[in-house]
Amino acid sequence: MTDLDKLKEDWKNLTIRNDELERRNRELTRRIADERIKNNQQRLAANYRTGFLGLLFPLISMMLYEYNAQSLTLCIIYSAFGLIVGGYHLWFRHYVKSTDYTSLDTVSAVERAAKIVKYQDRATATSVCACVMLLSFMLYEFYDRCGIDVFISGIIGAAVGAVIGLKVYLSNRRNARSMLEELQKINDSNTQHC
Amino acid sequence: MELKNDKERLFLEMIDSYKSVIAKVCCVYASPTAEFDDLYQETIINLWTGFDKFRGEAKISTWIYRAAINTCITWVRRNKKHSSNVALDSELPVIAEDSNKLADYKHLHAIISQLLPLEKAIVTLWLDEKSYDEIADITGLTKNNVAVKLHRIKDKMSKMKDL
Repeated sequence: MTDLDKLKEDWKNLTIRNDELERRNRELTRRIADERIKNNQQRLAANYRTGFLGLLFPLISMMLYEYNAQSLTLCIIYSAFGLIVGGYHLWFRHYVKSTDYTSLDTVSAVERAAKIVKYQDRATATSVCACVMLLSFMLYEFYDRCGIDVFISGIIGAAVGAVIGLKVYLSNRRNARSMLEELQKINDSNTQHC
Repeated sequence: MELKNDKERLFLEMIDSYKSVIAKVCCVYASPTAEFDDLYQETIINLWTGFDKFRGEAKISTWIYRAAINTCITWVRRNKKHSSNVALDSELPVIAEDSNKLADYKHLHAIISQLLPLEKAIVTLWLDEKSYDEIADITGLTKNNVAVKLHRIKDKMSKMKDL
């Protein structure tokens, strides 16, 4: 018997604690059926369900225009922000939810997982860029229409938000890149030539 | 703990039939205890999610292997503090304590844990005596690619044993 044959034999002779696994299976089945636990995909998709709120931005901006005398330009930018960010979030949520790792072969599953990480990173980047554009215009409006006091308040609020948001954004970005690198390595090991 | 309906009963019967397959795949990919539990749970949830959609296009065993391997291989750790070498004690809750082959398994496991993620998938399927066609079907590689990779993996494992 070769060494590798022995390894195969050791693998076959491995004794699993069937009672422990059957107990786990029963408990997990109950909890899954009751929707008390979710997998990573479901949790990730849930984070983006608020994307539909972005689709309400055009309605909100109409009200701002009508009742708050906001400029038409700001209302258009506000609407665009909501539609772009909300739309992308909802699309991404659908993409994640439609991923079924049980129906994909391993190579396709890794590619899909890498795409999810990439698109999630893009969702964050899109939101940040759109938010910066919107805030810039809003601050200009504050300065132009409401006076210096409101403008300074806006600047302080934006600065505080930026500090908190940037820290979270950079941390998520690092995680996303690290995950993408690991998935890419798996993909690359598949395409190595002999 | 009572199961409410037929779907739960059928699902439980299925995963009980293939529990050792799922557990072994999760053992291969896991490191600390928390990760084995997470991988196992995640695999079971993914199987539940895909259960209604499974129409018997593939063998059930192929489907189960695919689900387990795909879940484990796409589980990318956000925190890289833990070593990729398995602390085997963490899998003991599902490995029989009275196994007189435990030491042999620990040695085998120490070798497998040094392989790349896709290599782990191929070698796990080979150890379970899957044909090249079945390995190709599960992994999405061509049969020739499987043969070449398996040859290289065996060579790699042999060299590890010599160290």
